[in-house]
Amino acid sequence: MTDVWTRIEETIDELSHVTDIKSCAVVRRDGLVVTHTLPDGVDPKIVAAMTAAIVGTAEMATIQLAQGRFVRAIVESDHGKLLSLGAGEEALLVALVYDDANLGLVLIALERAAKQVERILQDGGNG
Amino acid sequence: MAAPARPVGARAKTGIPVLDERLQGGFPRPSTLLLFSDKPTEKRIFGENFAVQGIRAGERSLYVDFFRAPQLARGELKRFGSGDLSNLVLVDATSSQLLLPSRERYHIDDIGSLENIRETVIAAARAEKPSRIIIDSMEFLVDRFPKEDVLRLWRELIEVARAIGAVICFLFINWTLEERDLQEIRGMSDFVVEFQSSLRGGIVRNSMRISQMAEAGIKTNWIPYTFKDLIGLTVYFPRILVTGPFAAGKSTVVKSLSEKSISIDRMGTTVAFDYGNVNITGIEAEIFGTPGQERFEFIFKIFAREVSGVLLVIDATHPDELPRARQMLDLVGPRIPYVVLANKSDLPGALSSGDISHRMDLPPDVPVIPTVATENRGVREALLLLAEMIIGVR
Amino acid sequence: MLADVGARLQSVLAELRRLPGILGVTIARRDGILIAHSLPKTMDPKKIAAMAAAIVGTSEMAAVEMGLGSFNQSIVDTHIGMMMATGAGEEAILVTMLRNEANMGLIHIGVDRAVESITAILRPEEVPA
Repeated sequence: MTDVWTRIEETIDELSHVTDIKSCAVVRRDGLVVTHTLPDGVDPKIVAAMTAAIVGTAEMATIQLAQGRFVRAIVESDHGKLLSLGAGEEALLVALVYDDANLGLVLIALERAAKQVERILQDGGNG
Repeated sequence: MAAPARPVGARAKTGIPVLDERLQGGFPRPSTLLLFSDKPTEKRIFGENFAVQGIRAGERSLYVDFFRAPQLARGELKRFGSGDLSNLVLVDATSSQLLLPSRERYHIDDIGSLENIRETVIAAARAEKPSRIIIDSMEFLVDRFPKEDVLRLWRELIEVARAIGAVICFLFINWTLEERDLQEIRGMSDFVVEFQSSLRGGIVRNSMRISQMAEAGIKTNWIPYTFKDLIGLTVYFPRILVTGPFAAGKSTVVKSLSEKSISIDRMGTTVAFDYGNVNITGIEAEIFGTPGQERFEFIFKIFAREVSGVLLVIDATHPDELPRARQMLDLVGPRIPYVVLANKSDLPGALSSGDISHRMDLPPDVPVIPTVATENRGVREALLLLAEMIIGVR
Repeated sequence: MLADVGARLQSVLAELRRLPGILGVTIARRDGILIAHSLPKTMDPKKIAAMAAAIVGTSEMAAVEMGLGSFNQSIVDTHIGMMMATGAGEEAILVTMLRNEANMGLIHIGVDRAVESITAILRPEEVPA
């Protein structure tokens, strides 16, 4: 499990260095923190629970509205955006980005990282 | 020719089981009801509902309508369902005003003559012997005729109703009468049903309150209601919150009460909320379940508003969680009626209701119901009990 | 007066729904109660109202926690479209469902206009002197 955690940490660390991404986190879909690069002053436990609630509800909305597959949830604010997407059955990838971010590039980086996290967690389970 | 009315039961039902139970079956016969409000609200719906419930029960209803043409009134009564309305007798007060011939047996030909109005209504009542009479509505007379004459007629109609054993229902909006006169009118009535309506954030909320004028009589709280097409008046609770510690069975309670609920849960725990719509015995309610884990308490800030009542679900085999249950109740807020569900009561080691009540130091009027939510046992009963507490019939 | 609010909200929704690519629109109270809707029969308006309130309410709190400044809107992206939810005054939320093919420029203008109208309609009446 330590290996899994280190590998996820590395993925998140790398992701945090992508231009326009302020910080990010991997959280469990039931609202618990796995790892993060959130700044001091931001409580990762609160971020984890809230993003779990947002994504859980967004996924239910997608089903209820028969709108196909959930892809991501975006919270837009004056000074930045919060992006959340699935990273496998048990986890979510969450990122804080700058308001004027190039979303196209950010989303590509996020999707790649999410798949990576998903793979790490699957491997970890089989390890 | 209408079918002869079947012999009637001793009580006149409202059609809302929770209310009828509290009224010991319905309004006694004979009795006088005053349907009253200060502003235009939906008291007519109660009057119409009352007329229709009578017909559904095989009774005859006499409806005196000063405002609507008979065809319009009958048309609007179809909202209550497609049943046979031949036992509805209308007193037509509008055709003569429109200078049209009336198709009803009873018609007021001179709307400017209180005597003509009096004669027609009394003749209809004596001939048809309805078990329910609805006068829609008394302010029509108060606006046109001297107050004393109207009050005299009011009393006379009460006597006529009494003589034939009917429940008579007077609709009334007060524009001009003084408190002294209102006191008198209330004094003439056995029951007063008041109505109020409010608009908050784009949503209309209607409620009514029933008071029995006799000393130590029935008094309900304000009862929120709505009208359901083809059914009629229904008690309506905009939000019943289901809360309690993690894994107590809240989501299961919501599922077992509703037909098509949603539960937003992951890895065995609710991460946002549960929601379902419940319809049972004249009551409709929107049921919301909260998560039990502490990290999701922010949800209460969103959903713990306009809460009609709470179903507090605890795992009867986990007494260590009782303090957490109390904490969650506090998150909802003070002075909201609640019922405790001692869930998983079928499991070994489940505490008794008395034990739980004692350990939680509950006030004696808070029910603790043993439930097995996975088998839908006890859950409906708990909801009905909560409904009675909210209405104030317990 | 009461019925009037309903009718006015419906006409705002009807106008918004006319924009190409819009699948449905809902106005919810911030605590999840349904206010008004223009949705296809397959969608349950009360469920949408509850979910939108959960998403917007949580998003607003998250934005505060993360120092992101004032919340503007929440977007749920699906592979065929999106659901947008934004505040419409103190009491309400406007939820718009649209297909990916919709013209986002037009949609934003339409949504902004609808939000303005809804905010005005739901503003508590001023008591006359």
